[in-house]
Amino acid sequence: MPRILVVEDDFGSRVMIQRLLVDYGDTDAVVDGQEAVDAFSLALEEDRRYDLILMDIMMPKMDGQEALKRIRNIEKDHGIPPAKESIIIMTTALDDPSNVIEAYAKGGATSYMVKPMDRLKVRTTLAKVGFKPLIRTP
Amino acid sequence: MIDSPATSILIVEDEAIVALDLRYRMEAFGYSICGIAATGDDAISLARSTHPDIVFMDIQLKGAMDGIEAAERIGVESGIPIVFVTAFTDEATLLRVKSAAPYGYIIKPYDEREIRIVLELAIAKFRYAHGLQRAKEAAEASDRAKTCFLSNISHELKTPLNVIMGCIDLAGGDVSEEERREYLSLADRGVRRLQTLIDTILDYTKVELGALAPRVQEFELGEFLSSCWQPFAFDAHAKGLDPRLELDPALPASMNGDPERLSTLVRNLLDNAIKFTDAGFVCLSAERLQVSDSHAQLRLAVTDTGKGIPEEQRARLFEAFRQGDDSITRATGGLGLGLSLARALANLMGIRLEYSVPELGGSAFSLYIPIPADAPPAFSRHTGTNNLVGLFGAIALNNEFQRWSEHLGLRMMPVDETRDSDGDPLVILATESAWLEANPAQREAVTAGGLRPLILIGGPYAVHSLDGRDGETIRLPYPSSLANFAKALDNVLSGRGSSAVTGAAEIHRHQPVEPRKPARDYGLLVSRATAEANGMGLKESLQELLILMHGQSHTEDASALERHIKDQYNRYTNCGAVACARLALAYAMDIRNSADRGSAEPRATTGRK
Repeated sequence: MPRILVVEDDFGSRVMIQRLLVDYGDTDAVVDGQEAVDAFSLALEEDRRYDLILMDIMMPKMDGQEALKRIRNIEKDHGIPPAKESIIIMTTALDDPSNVIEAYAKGGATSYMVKPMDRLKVRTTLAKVGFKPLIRTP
Repeated sequence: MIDSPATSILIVEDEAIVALDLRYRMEAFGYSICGIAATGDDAISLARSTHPDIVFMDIQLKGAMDGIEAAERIGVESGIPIVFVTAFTDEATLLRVKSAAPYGYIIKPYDEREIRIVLELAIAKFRYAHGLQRAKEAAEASDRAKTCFLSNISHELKTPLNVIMGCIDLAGGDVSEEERREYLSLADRGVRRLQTLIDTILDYTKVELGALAPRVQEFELGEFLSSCWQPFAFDAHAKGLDPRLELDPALPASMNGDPERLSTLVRNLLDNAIKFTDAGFVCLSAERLQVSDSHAQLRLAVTDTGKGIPEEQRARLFEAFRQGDDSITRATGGLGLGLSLARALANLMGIRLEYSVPELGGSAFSLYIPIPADAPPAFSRHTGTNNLVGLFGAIALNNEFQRWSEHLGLRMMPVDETRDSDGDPLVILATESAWLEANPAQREAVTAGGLRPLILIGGPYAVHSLDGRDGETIRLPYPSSLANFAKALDNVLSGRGSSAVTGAAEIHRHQPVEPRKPARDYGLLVSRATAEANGMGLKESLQELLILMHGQSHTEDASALERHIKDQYNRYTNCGAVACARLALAYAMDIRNSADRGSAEPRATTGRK
């Protein structure tokens, strides 16, 4: 079962995104960038890394851009090759180019999803990075 | 002619007698001389220590550094304007002088008038350039504020829109009825948040254009207050705060005013209070003040136990686009329009808006609205009746209910005590969580086998059911308005809801929190955290965390529990206790998962057929 980390400070958005991802794997939720980095390290330590991380950009304490950079650095420090890095999709309400460029060029984000999102957008974006909904046995 | 305090001048001249002569002449003009330097190095250090308004600089100086070089260094360091004085007029010197960008140039021999004119012009020119620079900076700052506002506004608008669209989309999928209701309720909250934002922006724009006129009408006060408070009660609850609504039983039933503008005003104050409060409560209160025989006022107050507003910021409290923090990591969100709009709307409606600091800290914003002195209260005092209401378990709103009971002709008493008193309670009042905790036998006993009506107080998201139709328990959201409570009581006491009461088996909302299957090795995390805590002197704090983890009761509210754990996590993070922080985080994630699943999974299995 793929492991997914949802990083989102807004309660409603968090619940909704977790539900949107129900068919994609087991989700954990954290509420700021600091927690995201810690959750990532914890998973690495337990050898159950996250396959997919959906991260909001504008958050309290540590924003998504900073958390993204730190997570990529931790991967580098542990000698994880680029092909095995976690897939990180930045989610944000802001679609201004500077944010996109920062996330891609400097941060090493895999993809980018602009809110608002729905099932179709999630399906399309995740399909592009190789995730398909699981077929659950009833 | 010369501004006071006197313009201060630093004279740099290596001929002591010339320097003295200059000093007397300048002092005679009314300037003040803050120092005389003979070398370039002296000039630089004096400029640094005395902050002159202008430096009067001879080019030829003793020592290795000449006046031009000294001027350049002073210019770089502090930007103090320089006037050169020299006997040289050759091209090479002029070229170097130009590169130092002086404010004036005097050729020896000079006369008094010349010195005066050059100095005055230099000072004027400097002030003009300085003013220009400041204006430019102000314009740039305002431009930044605008960009920041635009990015805030798109974030603020899109966040609820995201929830609304996602939830409506989810609700349209293959889900159970119960799930659908939950998605729609989440979407509904998003819509209300969006509505507040849009009202705020539109009202603000209209106020700026001077195009806002209050539309006065009569409206029902109790209904108004609970509709303002309801969506925020949910937010406060989700944040781990205690949402309070305190209504004076003597409030009038209705009042005249512009309910829409007043609602925008109150909602902005509430939004603000919740945003800036991390622990404690947020309270909306309303009371009637009798100012004199012919004057009465309604005082609406939003009180919180947040961090309050620092003294130095209070003066600018009501300015637009101003928040403690503007960065992308802002802990609070929002537009920074709330308080300036609140002030503008209050002015528009002739309402006094006041800020004060409550005794226990935090903030209180009060609105004083004139009302007719003879406005009849919403609930006339019941005399003669003395209906007994049995309280089951702890009721968070107890004080509030006690305050009303007299007005409604009630006596409130814990259920256990009513046995020794003079009668059976007519109604039982309980919180949903206390009711769920009780065993069937207790419930039977308290409701007299289901014959005695029951009013349950749920969370802020509890579904209203005021009518008490047959076979249904009356449920009120918390905090409840006086009107709701009175109506509910009225319904049960008039017999409509008393026919049957079913247990709370149908209440799905408060599923006890069950920890998810332990996916991780807590033993290892705990032992690492323990070793770290022992080394860092955090033993007691870790003990607290472990108690929270083990002693998790089945009725503990998941969001309150998460809040406690999150506090611990923050504390550990701040002091660099990595292993302890990880333990807290791991547990917080498990609570979030079980809380979210607790309401989704049981239904998913029964709902999908």
